[in-house]
Amino acid sequence: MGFVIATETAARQATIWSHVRICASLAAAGFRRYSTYRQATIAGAATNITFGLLRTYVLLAVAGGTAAGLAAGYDRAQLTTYVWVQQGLMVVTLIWGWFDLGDRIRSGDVVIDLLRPVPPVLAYFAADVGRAGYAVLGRFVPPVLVGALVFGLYRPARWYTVPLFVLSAALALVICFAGRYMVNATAFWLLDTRGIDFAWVLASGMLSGLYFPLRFLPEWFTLTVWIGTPFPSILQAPADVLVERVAPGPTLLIVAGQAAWAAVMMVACVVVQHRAERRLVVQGG
Amino acid sequence: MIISVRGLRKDFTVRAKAGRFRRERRVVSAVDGVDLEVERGELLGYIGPNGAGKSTTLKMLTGVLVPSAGRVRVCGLEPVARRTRLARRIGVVFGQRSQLWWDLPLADSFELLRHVYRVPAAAHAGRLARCRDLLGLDEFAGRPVRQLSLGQRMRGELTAALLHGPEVLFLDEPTIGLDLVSKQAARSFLAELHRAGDTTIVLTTHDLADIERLCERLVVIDHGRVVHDGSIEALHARYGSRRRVVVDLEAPLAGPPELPGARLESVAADGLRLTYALTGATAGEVVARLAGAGELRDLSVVEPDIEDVVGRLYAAPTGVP
Amino acid sequence: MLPQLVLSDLQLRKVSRIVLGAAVYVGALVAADLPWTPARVALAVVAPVAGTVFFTALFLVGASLTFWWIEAAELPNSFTYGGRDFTTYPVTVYGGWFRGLFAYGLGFAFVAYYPALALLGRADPLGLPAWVGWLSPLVAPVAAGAAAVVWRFGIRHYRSTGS
Repeated sequence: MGFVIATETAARQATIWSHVRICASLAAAGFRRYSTYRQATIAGAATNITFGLLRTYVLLAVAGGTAAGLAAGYDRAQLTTYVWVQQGLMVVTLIWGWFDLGDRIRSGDVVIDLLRPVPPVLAYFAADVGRAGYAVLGRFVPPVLVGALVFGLYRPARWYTVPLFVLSAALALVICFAGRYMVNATAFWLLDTRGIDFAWVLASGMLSGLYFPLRFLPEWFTLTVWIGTPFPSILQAPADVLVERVAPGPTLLIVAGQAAWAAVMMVACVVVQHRAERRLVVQGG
Repeated sequence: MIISVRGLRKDFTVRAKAGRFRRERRVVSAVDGVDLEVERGELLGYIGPNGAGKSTTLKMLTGVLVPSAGRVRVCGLEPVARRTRLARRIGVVFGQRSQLWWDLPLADSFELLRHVYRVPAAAHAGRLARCRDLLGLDEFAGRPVRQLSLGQRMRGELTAALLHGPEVLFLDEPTIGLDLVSKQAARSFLAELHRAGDTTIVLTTHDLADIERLCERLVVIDHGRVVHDGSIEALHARYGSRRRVVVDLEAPLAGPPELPGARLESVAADGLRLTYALTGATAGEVVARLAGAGELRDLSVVEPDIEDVVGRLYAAPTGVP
Repeated sequence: MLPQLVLSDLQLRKVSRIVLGAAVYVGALVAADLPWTPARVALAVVAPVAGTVFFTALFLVGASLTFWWIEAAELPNSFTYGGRDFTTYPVTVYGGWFRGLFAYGLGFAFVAYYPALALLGRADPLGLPAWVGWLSPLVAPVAAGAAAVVWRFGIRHYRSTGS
């Protein structure tokens, strides 16, 4: 018997379904890949818990200093929930610390990614969904549980809030992934991307509502940032949805805005990848 | 023709500092007009010194690098435009890079590749069984790739590149850095694959043993141009590598005889060992004449060494000796 | 070996942070319009130095922990950067066991909070006597000693396991 060549695959046309299956297996691999690092998961969750405690106490002090006990319109339970959900979400969306693609571009290993029969953006996204799935279990649930035990969390009043939050968090992941991907992809053009990496960390930290809810800032500024940049859609939006910070109508508007940003970012991401491939000069060739 | 290349070029623009503020742009041709035709089932050695343009050619053949000029067809497809479709029909192994999932067990990578390439379960199982058998994967298939030795990993890479049954297998320095045993394993595997007959193999390597062991046809590239395309024997003939006859004598001769069609290369062991390079005469003729001149104790014929030829080739400034 | 590692990654960019921090510190001291005594001046000078030593020691401990837990590189962030954030606010902001652990267990209260109380001549709402503020720079040598021990154990552990 020889190494029968793959005449049979020529007949197997790609369908949407086959792409879904490929993505599912890549996502499963992404999940397993991260689940092999137990120590890192525990260490990371512990760190999230520490920062959760820090931020909660500080924000509660801010709220306690006001007459109504409200800070930027959030009551104590909403503030607490906001902080703990953010601690988990920042890992689920992986707002910081993703250098896989950039490293592979610099080392030239990206060649391998280009030689797969799956478009790179799709392959990376599928793996990222798997990673996020593991992060939900290992990095989202533990801090939120600790927050619930130590401070108690906000109970949503509307029946659809939790499913809407899940949708909002999923959109946040898409937006954040596309942003990270583009930041990493600058390595196709630039030898040193540290400046861009730093700009991303700075902008995403300040404008996503991670350090404090954006509503603490003047309304015109918050609105401008929210509409004009994708960052609030990454952390502020899902948290606001979950704590029911605004009325049902505006809440839907928040999620619709996220969907728009997700579409824009993904299209931009694919365009960037396309242009990168066109001008590709693989390092070390 | 499964691979057909005409006038292939790749120019890189190199920016070099010239003075304080000026930067000079210089165009360097990494590949400078390569023509190549490869038949289905061939095993082609694509060799040349560092920076000769081997990897650049390979990247253009696989569609990850856009040629500056020329026409390329692999499996009848234009690689850059049809990259993802071509990816299903070719396999690639880079000695320095990994296509395996670093953190997962080796076996998981194989399973993932089955999905990624949409290989029917039976075909996948058949090919995997064959590779497991020939490459001895079973002892480490359950271990995460990051824990494998280089030799083990390379066996995994070879398997990974073949599981979807590619028509063409590109290998870029597959044996680099491997220990002797793993090199042997990789070589016999490739020889076996070639013998099976339906996979075309293009191999770039620095390892001359790989070439001697595996390649019937050699394409030598230097400074971006093909300087030789043919058999190893043709390479020897062209670059003047000679068979040698080495004789040990019972007693030294008064003066080593001049022989027609042979050139005396060295006299050693106090005149007891003579080495002639054959420049036209046969080994038999040389031995017969020497036997007439004095009593022979021992003799041997030394085949030309590919290392000599290639070394000479690489040393020559333009690839022409 | 340690000085070599430290100096190998010294960046000019980070010098600007020191300048900025010092400027804010001096500005705040001037604005507070304190009755200056030799002791106050001494504390005002020693406290930031001690704080620097304290945090240096902490980062060293954090780095040393990876000798044992290679994967857990993120863990030290909780007490290095976490400690930095903790120190930014008065410890009265925090509550419960968390305050106990970070303020007194790990000693962050003695980096800024108690020296600041002493400089400003305020009493501690949490009830510790006033001399605590004046002695708090002593946490720095304690931390430095502890860090040295951890570092050495780490090196020894590394040499014996080689991993």
